[in-house]
Amino acid sequence: MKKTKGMRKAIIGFLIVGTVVALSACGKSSKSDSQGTAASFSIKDRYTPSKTTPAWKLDKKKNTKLTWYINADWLKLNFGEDLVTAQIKKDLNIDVKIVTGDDTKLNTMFAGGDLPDIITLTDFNSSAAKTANKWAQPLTTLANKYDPYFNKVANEQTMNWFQLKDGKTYGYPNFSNTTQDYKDNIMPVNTNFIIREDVLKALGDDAKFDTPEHFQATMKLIKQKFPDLLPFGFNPVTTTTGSLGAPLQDWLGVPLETKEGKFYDRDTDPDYLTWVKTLNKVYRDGNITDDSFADDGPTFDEKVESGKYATILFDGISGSQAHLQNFKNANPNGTYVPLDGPQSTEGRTIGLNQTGLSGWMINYVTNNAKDPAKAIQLFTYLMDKQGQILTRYGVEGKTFQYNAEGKIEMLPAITKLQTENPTEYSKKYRLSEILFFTHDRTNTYAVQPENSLTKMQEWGRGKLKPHYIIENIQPDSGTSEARSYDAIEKNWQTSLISMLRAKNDTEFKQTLADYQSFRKENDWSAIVKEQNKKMKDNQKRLDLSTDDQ
Amino acid sequence: MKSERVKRPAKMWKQKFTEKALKFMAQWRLQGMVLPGIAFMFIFTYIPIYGVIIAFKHYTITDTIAGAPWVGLDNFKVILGDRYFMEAVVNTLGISLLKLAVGFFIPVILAIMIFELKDGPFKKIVQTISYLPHFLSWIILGGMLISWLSTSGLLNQLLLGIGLIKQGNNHLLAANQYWLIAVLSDVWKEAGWGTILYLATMAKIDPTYYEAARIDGATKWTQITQITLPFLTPIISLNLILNVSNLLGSNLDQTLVLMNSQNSAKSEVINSYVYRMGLTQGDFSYATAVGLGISLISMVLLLITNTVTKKMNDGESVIF
Amino acid sequence: MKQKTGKTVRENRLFNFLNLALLVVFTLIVIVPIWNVVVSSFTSSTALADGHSIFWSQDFTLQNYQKVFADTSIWRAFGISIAKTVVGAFTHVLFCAMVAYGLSKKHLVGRGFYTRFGVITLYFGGGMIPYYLLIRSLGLLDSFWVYIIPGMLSYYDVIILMNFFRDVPASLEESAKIDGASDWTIFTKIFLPLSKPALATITLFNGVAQWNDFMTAKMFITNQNLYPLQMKIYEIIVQSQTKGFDNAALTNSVVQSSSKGVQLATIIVTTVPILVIYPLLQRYFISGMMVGAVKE
Repeated sequence: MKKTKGMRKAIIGFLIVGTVVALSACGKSSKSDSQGTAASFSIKDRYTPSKTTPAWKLDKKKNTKLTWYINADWLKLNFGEDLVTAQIKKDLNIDVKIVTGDDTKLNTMFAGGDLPDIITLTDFNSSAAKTANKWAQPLTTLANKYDPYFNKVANEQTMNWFQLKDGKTYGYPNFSNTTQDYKDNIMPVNTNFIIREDVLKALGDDAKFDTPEHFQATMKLIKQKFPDLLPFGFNPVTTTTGSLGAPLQDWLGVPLETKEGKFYDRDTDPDYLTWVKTLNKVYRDGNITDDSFADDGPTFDEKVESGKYATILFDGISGSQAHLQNFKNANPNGTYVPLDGPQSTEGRTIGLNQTGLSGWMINYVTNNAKDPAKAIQLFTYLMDKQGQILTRYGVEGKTFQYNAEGKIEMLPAITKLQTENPTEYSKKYRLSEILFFTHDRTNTYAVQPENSLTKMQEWGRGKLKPHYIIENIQPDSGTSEARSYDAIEKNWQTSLISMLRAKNDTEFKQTLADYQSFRKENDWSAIVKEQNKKMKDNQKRLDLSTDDQ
Repeated sequence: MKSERVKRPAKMWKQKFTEKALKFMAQWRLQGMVLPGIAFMFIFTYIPIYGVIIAFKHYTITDTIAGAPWVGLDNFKVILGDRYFMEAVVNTLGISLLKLAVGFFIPVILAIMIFELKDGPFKKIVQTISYLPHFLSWIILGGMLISWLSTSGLLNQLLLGIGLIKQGNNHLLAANQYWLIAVLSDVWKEAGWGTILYLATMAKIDPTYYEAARIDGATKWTQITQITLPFLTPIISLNLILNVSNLLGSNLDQTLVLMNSQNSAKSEVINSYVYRMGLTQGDFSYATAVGLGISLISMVLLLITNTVTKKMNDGESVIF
Repeated sequence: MKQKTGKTVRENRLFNFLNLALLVVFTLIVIVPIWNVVVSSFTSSTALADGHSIFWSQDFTLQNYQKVFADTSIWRAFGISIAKTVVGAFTHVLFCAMVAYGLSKKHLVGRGFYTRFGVITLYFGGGMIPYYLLIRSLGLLDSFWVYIIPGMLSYYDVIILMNFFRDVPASLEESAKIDGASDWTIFTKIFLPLSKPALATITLFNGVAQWNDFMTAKMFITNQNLYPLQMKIYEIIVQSQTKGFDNAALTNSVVQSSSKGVQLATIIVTTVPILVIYPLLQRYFISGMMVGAVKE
């Protein structure tokens, strides 16, 4: 009794302390310093903005220091100590302090009220990106005030895509691929059905994967001829559906939307489910190993590198270029080659996904930017062709040269350093590391060197299809729909894997039925409604640009 | 009698206060050793505690703590109304209780066994080796477990060799084996590390006790139960209190590496659930609300175990 | 009597034999997988995937270690780690011991309040954001002292030390008091020397925690010259976890995804220093204390 009384006293004491401190903290943090810097800032005595010349060429102000926060952990560099950043430093007369971190760190910055000048986010769908109007400056306003040339280098379709509800665009992404980019085939495919060349040769005319029946039979044959290999592999599925979810649906050409432009339930598409069932049969034949459902990323990579799988439905294949190359180097006779693989049972055409308009990372100039003119100049500089080439290939004569056709060719010494001492190469040049404004179109400026992916990429030409309409249509985080959506996603992942591992047809059917009733119990109709709304918004944004296409 | 009791306290209190104050002044040296610690805890723990108010707010990444709108108990309602959260609670309790049942006493036994070894290189080597697994992070250990438990992994090869099974299974896909895997791998990782505190406690036992016992012809077993264990009781109680009060916490790293689609119904624990629902979605309010709830429950568990273990320690509490 | 002793001796022999046998088995259970880790760290990733390099490397290579040490700044980080571990553990154990000594005295005024005040810190905290704001207002951002000062006291360690101090015979303290020794003298001259096993344990716990900690650096340090070893290691591990670089053009340059072998090598690199230091502390709790020497 005595103890609990003391306990109560202590708890009350701590609550009082907490409240007092909370109140004092409230008083402190209400000060607003966000607008002060922007209001008093002027470029009158520095330069006159021009529509035809980028402002960084006009602005002669020296030694501006910018802080650039990147919400990703992996980039660590001292600005100006390598070829790329030294060039940026020289051209713009700026010094940049690069700070990296995760969401918690970003959060502390907002909470503390001391935002850096530039912020790069990694998720267009995050709440920080969705409320950018609260903390970032509209890019067009900045451009008109300090650097009208920006409007020339910014892609209109991308700008429209990133409009917030107020009709303004605050962030500009990297790797945003427009309709034109898809038309011009500038990006390689990232999904492939690949097979070991020696296996393919051994199979000869029996190498048929097109129909479910052929697929199942060929897998049996592989097992017969190569008992040490795993006939069929796919990306790790411990927490995602890997390549057996959306990528397989794309492979079979499952529609993105209904004819009326409404949400299409791709997961229960009959064509797709026929193939899932086929894979289940392959599993029951013992030609998909259970380990494939438990392996994590590094384990999968190791298996790829040692050629354990006879065939793989591979999504994100570019990320495994090194692993495939290592396998190729170790086995000159047994490299992987692409095949057409499974075909739609309904005669649909393949339509693979690549990065869409949303791109990958998004860059913002914050309200706290001490020198917003320099910040937007940096944006323009990096988005312009010159900056694209610099960050990707370096400096002419130092790291690359133009060949007879006017294409960029890396100097042999540089390529050699890259393969022999990647750390040194990275430290000295930082090529492709300042990629926050890089776009896939930059690839077309250069000669593409032959590597383990060349054949896969050649196979994929013309097989991409923009998925704009279904980009970012999941419910906003923090809402009850989002929680249900999460639960459903997780249930789908479990269900799909359970279907693939089903012991018989009844179990397969039951799992699917359970999943469908699970959706019904969890607000599926509300989620579909939300998704339809978002698809409509996407269409609206896309329509803004159709005149120019 | 009654009126006296009503009247006296005011005076008593004053007198008591003066007494206390005098005593306080008299022991200023001792107070001077404790108060810096209290001040330290005030600054580094109590001042930031106002952050828990975001459990009662709708707080997003771009808000200040003060600026976020109040939502009362909404976050708690969401948590309690969520049956997947409750599933995670069941798993957490199941795994933690099993870890407690199996993992709590193994370090004690192990420590006594090491203590009973003759001084010499073997003793040092055993002890040194025993704590090494502690340094394998779960990311690493998880990766190794995935391969050891795979269809052609170490475990299956072993079982096949003995003839217990005919065909290898992937044990991580078997949901009903997950708790066992989680508990055993955790025990393997931490048992040796857990002995250190017990060994340190035994190191201060006066060797003459054992000599006397030996002269009396006491067996090793008697020595352990009559001398060693009584010395260990306070530390065992202390560890028990802290372990029990942490029943709802931890397991995050382990779960994140070992969880997969097929075992998630048995492997999802509170922390991994919050990690997915809260932090990866930037929903800090949600995570804080869960954290606050866990803190309160932990406190209650602490008070309960404290009362229970007091009996083992002659009525004295080991934490207060 | 004699017979009884004989039986006891036999029983004890059996006990010692069983004890030894069980510990050998235990050691094997621990060492086999650990050995596998060591072997794997010296094996190329292709050979690792084959799964045959369990007790002996099928394709011995130093490549994994070369990758770990490729970044020369790792040596500076090593120095920072050593500095923060030594300074941190030393100040931590002294501060905790001082507070614990005071709290171990039953006659301390306000003791009930103090201990409850402390226990609450074990379970309640305000989360990262207010903590960050606090660290910032204390001027500890981007300072070496952020490794030391906030970690100086842990109430968990105070409780452990408090329990150890309670076991010191009261007679020792009384006789010292009669000789006119102050609390401080009693603490430093009697309690600290008598509690070496406990102090060694806390030093070890805290030292290992300091050594392994990278969150502090991740949250509060932007100056790379102040990064500890674990932060470098974290970068190596994170790199291997960072997937989803979808752009073929970038693969090679940005993420040289580190293989399992590299991850294991980093673990070995960070654990070896502890293995080297360990015996210094181990002797305090592995063999019985010479209590007799300090006895009255």
